[in-house]
Amino acid sequence: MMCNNISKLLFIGSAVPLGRLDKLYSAHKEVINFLYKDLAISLCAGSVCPGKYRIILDADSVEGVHSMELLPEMLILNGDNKLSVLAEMLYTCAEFSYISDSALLQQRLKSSYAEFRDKAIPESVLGLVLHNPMEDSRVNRLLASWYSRGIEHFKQGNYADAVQCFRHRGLGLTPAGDDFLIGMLLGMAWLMRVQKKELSRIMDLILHESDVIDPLIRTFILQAFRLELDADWAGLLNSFCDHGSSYKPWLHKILSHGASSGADQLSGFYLACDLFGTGMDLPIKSL
Amino acid sequence: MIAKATIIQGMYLDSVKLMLISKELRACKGVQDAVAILATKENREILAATDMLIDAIKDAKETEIVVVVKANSMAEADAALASADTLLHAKVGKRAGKSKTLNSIKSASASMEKADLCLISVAGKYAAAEAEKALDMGMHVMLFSDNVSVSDELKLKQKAISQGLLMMGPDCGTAIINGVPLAFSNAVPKGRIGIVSASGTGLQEVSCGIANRSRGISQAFGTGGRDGKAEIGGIMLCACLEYLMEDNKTDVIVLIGKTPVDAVQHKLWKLIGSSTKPVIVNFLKDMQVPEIKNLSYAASLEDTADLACKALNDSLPVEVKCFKFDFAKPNIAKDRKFIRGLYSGGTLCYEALQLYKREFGAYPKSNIAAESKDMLSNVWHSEGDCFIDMGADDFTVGRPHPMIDYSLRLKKIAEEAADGTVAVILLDVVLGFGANADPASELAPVLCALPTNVAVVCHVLGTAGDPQHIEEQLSKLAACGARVFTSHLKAVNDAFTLLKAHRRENG
Repeated sequence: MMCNNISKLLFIGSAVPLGRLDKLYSAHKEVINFLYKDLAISLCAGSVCPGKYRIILDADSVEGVHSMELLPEMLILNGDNKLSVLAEMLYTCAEFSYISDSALLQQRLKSSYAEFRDKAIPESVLGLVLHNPMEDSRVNRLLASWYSRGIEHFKQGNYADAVQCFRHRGLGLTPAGDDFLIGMLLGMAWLMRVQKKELSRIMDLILHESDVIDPLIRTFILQAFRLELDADWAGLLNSFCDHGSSYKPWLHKILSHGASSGADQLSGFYLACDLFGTGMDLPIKSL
Repeated sequence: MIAKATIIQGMYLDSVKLMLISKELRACKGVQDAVAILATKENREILAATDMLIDAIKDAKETEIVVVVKANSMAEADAALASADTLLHAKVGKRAGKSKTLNSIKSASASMEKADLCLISVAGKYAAAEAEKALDMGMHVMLFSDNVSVSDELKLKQKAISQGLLMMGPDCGTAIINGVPLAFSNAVPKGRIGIVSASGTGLQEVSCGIANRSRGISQAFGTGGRDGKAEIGGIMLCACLEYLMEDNKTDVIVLIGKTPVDAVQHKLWKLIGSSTKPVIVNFLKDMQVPEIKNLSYAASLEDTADLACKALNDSLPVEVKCFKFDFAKPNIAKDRKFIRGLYSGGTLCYEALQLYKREFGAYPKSNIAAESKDMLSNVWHSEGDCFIDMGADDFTVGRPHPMIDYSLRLKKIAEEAADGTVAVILLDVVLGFGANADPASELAPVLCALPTNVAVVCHVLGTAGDPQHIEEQLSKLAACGARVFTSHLKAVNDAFTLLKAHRRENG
């Protein structure tokens, strides 16, 4: 059994429930998603960044794991591989509070957007909208037109219609449109903290209209809504208000999430900042 | 138009794989459109709007993936779906046991008892620990991973030396050990020239230059780019040099890399002076070297290969295997005046900067310039004469290296040609193991569609034994109007000659 090679736990998210999980939702080389109620708890290889609903193992692959049981001081894989759980392995999310240095925030956000715009892969949401599909694919062109329409609806304040233009639409195992909505919610939740914006009613509406059935997407959406960030996103958002740190490594890490998931979430995040933030003035609104 | 589709059941694929499959299918003969997508209700609406929602997939569950192909004929649609099936199952077949998946150095070592070299390519934060494990097990290490700290590199190299082992890297992309090409390398015959290199494409260019002169190599060691820095002190450069000096299968030694710090240079000169074997050195810039009888300093990677072959003194003529192509004089538009180098090989780009300075007296703009005044202010926006290493981190986040994935470079080539001020585009096309399987076919549609009033010069790095068939690659590129060369120096010189002549003619 492959998982016998796994001998160490690196991080354990604070929202991972105690008890046994053995209902598989999906399995990949680096991630196995177990069903827990209507959410997904992810058991991940060391290359995946820590998150509140994730367990990160010191391993290149998690293939072969079919069950896990979390006890207060131990994680048991496949019933027999026992790994110690130490207090320092617990991953809790970063907290964000009001940022008084708005100049730094605005400058960092604009620079990071400029870099993101140049690097976003053509198949991501903003990639499709900005570049108009390079490839001669009607599917991509149609997706681009749905996304453009969705952005227009967001700009007009037609949030319910906007969500329908993104929800479950697009390429990838979490369709790009869902990743975009995750990024929007994350951006809005962040603005509520750092710029004290009142966006809760719009966020409720987006969450309601998203009406997600897929447990993995639901987990991501809830995390965004509650601003329960994984380590890469926390690093990026912290760098926007810290003179001593650079946003670049975090931006690069997020861009490498999935095929286009990271870029799609960033697309939504930047649109949220452009529409609802103060003094951010990104050029997305004028698309 | 025919649409055909299939539902993928019981198989989990990651998003990257889905996108690659969509892209590959769109490139199939006769295929108008293709997509591998999750069958959500909304995605099915999109398929319906593009006439791709056919009966075969109407009942697909929301969590299932569908592959849909729209082609000119039934046969072409069937062929595309068959290739989709191959692409999908390639991985499954591998998992089913044709090749073994091993998840640790320990298990890999146990499955191959005589293994004495470990090639490590894992995320940077784990790389040092894995390398240490391999060294502890008595194996030489080639560490492909980057993002390893300098202190870890030093520790690993000291440990390796104390155990009489090689520690190549971190960020070591090329080596040929006992005739076995590792990572990005080329089919080079065995011979009597030994190479130590702190540069990946530098090693490739010189080893191919040697092969194209009908000579071969004994060993080609990579050390990683930081070995010549003060913090590492040239540990592996010196160790590999000493090995080759002692090796009775090596008659001539080649040393390549960016200029090491003075202290390391001093150690290297001392070692070279203690040997009787000819040593050809290229530190990738014009510099004064001490007068040592057996030391020759090469002015380019091309010269490095040439001097090394000549130093063998084996009574055979040193002639380069030539692939002859006739190039017409390009009809460059008057307003076009700049050169843009778009490289996948970092050292080739770096050499181009040095050659440019030699020719024009100052460095051009670049994303890998040594001085901040020459750095591009935005790596995504070229200005004036400029040379870009597209293998740099800025361009490789979330993407395979440009030697493998040409998509970004294709986009950039089209952009540069569309810029009405660009006269010459200079490219490298790296062949060999690990590189793109057929780069000329990727480049051809873009090159053929470029305006005829811009010149394209291509350096094709490879040997006749490389899996991509170098002659075919050259012919395909030349058929699109590219001026092709198997020597980087010649390609760069051709590009500069065109540029100067054009500028002269147009004031």
